[in-house]
Amino acid sequence: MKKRVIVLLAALCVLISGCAAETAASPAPESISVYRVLSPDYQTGGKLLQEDRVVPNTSGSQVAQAAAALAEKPQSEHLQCPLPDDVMILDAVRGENSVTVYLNTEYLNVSGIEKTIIDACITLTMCSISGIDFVSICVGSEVVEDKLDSEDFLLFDNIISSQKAQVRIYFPKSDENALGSEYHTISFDDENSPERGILYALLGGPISGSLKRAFPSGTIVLSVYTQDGVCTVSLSGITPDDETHTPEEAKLAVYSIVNSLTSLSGIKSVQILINGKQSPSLWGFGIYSPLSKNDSIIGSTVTQ
Amino acid sequence: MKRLPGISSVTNSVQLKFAATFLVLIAGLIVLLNTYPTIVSRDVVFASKQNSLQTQAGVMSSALSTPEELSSDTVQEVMSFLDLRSLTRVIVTDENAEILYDTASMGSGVGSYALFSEISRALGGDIVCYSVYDGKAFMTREAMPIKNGARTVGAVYLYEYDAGQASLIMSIQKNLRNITLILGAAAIILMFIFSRALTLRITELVRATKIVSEGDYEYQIKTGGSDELSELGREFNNLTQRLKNTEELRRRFVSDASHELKTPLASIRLLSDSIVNSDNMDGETMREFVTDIGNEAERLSRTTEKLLSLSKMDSGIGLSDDKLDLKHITEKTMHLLSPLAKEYHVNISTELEQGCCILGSEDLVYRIIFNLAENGIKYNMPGGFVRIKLFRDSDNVSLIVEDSGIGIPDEDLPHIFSRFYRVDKARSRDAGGSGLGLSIVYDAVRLHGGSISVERRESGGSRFVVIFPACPEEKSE
Repeated sequence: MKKRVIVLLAALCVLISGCAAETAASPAPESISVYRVLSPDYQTGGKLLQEDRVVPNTSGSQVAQAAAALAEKPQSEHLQCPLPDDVMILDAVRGENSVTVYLNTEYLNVSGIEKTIIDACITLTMCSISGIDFVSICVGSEVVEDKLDSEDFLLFDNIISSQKAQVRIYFPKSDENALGSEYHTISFDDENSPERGILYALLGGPISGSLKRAFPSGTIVLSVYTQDGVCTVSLSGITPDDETHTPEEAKLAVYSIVNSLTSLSGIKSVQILINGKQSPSLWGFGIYSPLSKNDSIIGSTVTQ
Repeated sequence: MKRLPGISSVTNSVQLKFAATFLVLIAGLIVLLNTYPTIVSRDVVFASKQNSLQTQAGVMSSALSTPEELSSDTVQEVMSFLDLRSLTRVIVTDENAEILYDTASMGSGVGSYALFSEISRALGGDIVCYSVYDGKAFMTREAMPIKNGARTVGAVYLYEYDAGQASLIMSIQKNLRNITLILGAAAIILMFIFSRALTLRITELVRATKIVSEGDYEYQIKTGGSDELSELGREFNNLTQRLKNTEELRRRFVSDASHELKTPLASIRLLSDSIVNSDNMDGETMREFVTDIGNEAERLSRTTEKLLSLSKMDSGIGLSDDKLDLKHITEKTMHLLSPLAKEYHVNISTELEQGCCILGSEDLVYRIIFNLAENGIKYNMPGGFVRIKLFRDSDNVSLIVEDSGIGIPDEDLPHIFSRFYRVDKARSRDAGGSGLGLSIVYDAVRLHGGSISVERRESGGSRFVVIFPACPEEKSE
């Protein structure tokens, strides 16, 4: 009897050590946020879609697993599958930073809010996979929706009051040469303009660990004002020719300001000044002229 | 695990119970005052907001309900005619939930898809409206479909953040809180004062009861006011006074009874000692002594018998509810007393009506009549009279016994029914009286629910008037 117990214990130890070794050898894949529709009884606070975290297998492709998860019936009774019964995801092909999702022809019969919900759930789910920024939806060879990204869908009313709102602030992504974004609550009044509130949130740094600071600590806003659609921002505490920053980092830093500020109505472009003066470049990236929003360097959204 | 006596007495005290009850009531009132008006005001504002936003959304929906396809430009044009200043955000979407118009200055969503549940439901044909109050503001959201005939071509979404109404409610709430705090504090102070005052009077009653129970019947408590506790205090004082009187009577009775029993016993002992110690006592003297011993023993026997009767009456033993014909009992008693009357040369006369019936004990009624008539004979003068009248008037039967005897002095009249009270002690003893006869009469009359009074006759002698309640059957006749 004792022998059996010892053998069992030894086998258990081997199993545990084997698992541990496997875990150590291949890091656990990042979870995928699968977006589904909340059942009508659970649509509280204006929420329509709900993310459901799914940990993919290490063996298959994440894109295929995300597509399969989208088609599955949710376990929770609070959630519903976004795809109607007759609409099926036939394939999902991963590109450089995008995914093309192939649906059957029944998809073409869906319209209105129902179609928007399908598009949103597919896009948001695919963009939650690291490295995916855009989603295209095709039926056969026909491209029905091209280059959808997570910013195309507003999942909640971000305006809290006439002096408080949740605003999308852009930060460089930690692991790639692109911008990600997250919502920050900005308060403003007669003394502090919304532009200043956005810049303070930007210089305060990101909340998410997958994003990083655009500007070093100690950077301060000297002034900010908007005139004729051009927002002029004067920064201090940074050296324009600091060689510790690469031009790529400079580009991300500059567009983190430009893209964040141009989300405000009435701001078309942003002029960045250093210590109150026009500067030809910041860390090797030209900022002499006002800059407009650059969507091409926006990666997937980190948080909605 | 026993609680300390001190703590127990505090937790069990009436004051604490009063205080706790009042505190609970005050707390309940404070909670009610601080919640109910706020809830009602909030609901009124909710209703008003929903009504207002629904009206505005209806106007917008109607204005946008044109046969042409909705586009940013057409929506912009229509919305420019509307006053949207009171609204925090207005969104107009097409049928796909794509935002065509957005008033948000921060993060305008034009071009994006608004996947809010309100818009989703509005595109499904529903009108959605709800309002939330978070303590700082009312946040009201309204979504309404834009219809082109039966087809939903888009949705209007309105959002209003109103801190003004909320601050008004908060100000009311704050004022109510301050008022209730002041009132609550005042109520608590007054509650402690009143409960203290109330319990002080109860404590005084408890203290007085302890003092009286220890034997101090002189103790009286102060009784001001006219409330229940004052009434209780007055009743307590009356009770103490009655206890005091009863105690005095008891002591006097014990003293008198001892004395009355001791006197014949002392005589018996003296006489018997004389017989024992006298060697040459002649037969005649000895017979006289023995006769005296017999007389004293008889007196002793009569006294104890009467004491026993009184004791029985005190405890209610022997009282029955027989129907008694007083005429018959009186005649029988007079027959028994006629030898005594002859001996004292006293004339007995009676005027007895028919139908004088009462309910009671025949033995006790006999004693009443016998004792009163016997006294009238014994304390009379030779040639005097004893007159007995018996008559009925409506509900009562009256028995009057009057005599032409020596009478009772005025100062003795209030005491003649007291036990062992004698008007003329020497004569009473000589007549064989024990001082208990009238006490027995008094107690027996009282036990029958009747009353007895005595007065001096103008022409000498006394008149006893006994009134009994008549038998109910007789009343019906």
